[in-house]
Amino acid sequence: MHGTVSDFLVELAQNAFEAGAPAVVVDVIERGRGIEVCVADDGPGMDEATRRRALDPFFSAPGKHPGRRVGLGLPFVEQAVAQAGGTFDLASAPGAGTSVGFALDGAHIDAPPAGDWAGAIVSMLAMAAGAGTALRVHRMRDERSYAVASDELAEAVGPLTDAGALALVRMFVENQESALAGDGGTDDMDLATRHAGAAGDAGAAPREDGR
Amino acid sequence: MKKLTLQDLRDLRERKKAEIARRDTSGKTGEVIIGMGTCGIAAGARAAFDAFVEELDKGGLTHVVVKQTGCMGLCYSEPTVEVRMPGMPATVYGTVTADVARKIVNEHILAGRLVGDHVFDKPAADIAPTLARGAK
Repeated sequence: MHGTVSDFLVELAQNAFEAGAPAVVVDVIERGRGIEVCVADDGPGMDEATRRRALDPFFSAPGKHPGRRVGLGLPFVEQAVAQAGGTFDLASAPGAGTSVGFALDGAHIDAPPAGDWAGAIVSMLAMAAGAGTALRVHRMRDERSYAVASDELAEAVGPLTDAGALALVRMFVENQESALAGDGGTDDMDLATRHAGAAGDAGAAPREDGR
Repeated sequence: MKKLTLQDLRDLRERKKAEIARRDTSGKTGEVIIGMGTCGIAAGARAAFDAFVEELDKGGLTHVVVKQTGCMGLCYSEPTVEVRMPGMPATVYGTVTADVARKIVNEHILAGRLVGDHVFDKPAADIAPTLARGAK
């Protein structure tokens, strides 16, 4: 079973990438202790019978794992969310893609810790790059927000399967998360300088959406 | 605190490129493929992923690609990672913690020795001597 809510997110995204979706949009919203996550893809979608079976742990999409008859990802997430008193939703239709998400109260005694959102986002960006999927992540915490898109990041740092590019993206997303948290303790320029191996100005003035 | 922008990221990348160009990356190409199925995620594959990215970046190993895939069918030994390097057998490692990930970068990718105690997909007999050198 997954240890953090951010693991649930990676699980849902991994399903979307494996479904061969050309584009995936992820929303991660925190309001107070409440957490809402939605992963929407424009993949092939599922008919109603398949959608219902997707929550069956002894079902896996045909062709996904040839010879195997288990698919634990969605059932695990649904069960964990239910245990924490949250809600889980899976909507899909053939040709219309799939949208899967959940909402839970992070203060619930059975809710797992939120986990490492920056790590989860970077992991999803790398997955998307490997799958050839365009990924956009909208992140909101109370009144603050930012968005990252895999194509824009790849244009800035190179392929998101390159460790150097991923290390820079990790630093970038951690910086955006710090800004979300209103965390004033990090000196980003020191961090940036360590990564670049050289001193200097980091560039243009920031915009509120991180672009 | 300064919120970074995409332009900041582009500038960092350019400076980093200049830094990497001064290092010897040996010209090899390889792949690190991390199993990120349900079993992998639950067993801590994201920590292994982070460690690979950090260690490869630290070594300036720009010719090694980091990918993620679904379950490799070795759920009992998650996190599992397949490493493909020129001149070495495609190798599946199991129970790859962050520390093991760093060891794989330094021994398998940099030194060309298998990390014998974590090999789950046995290499062919003709590369066994390599394994013996890599094993403790």
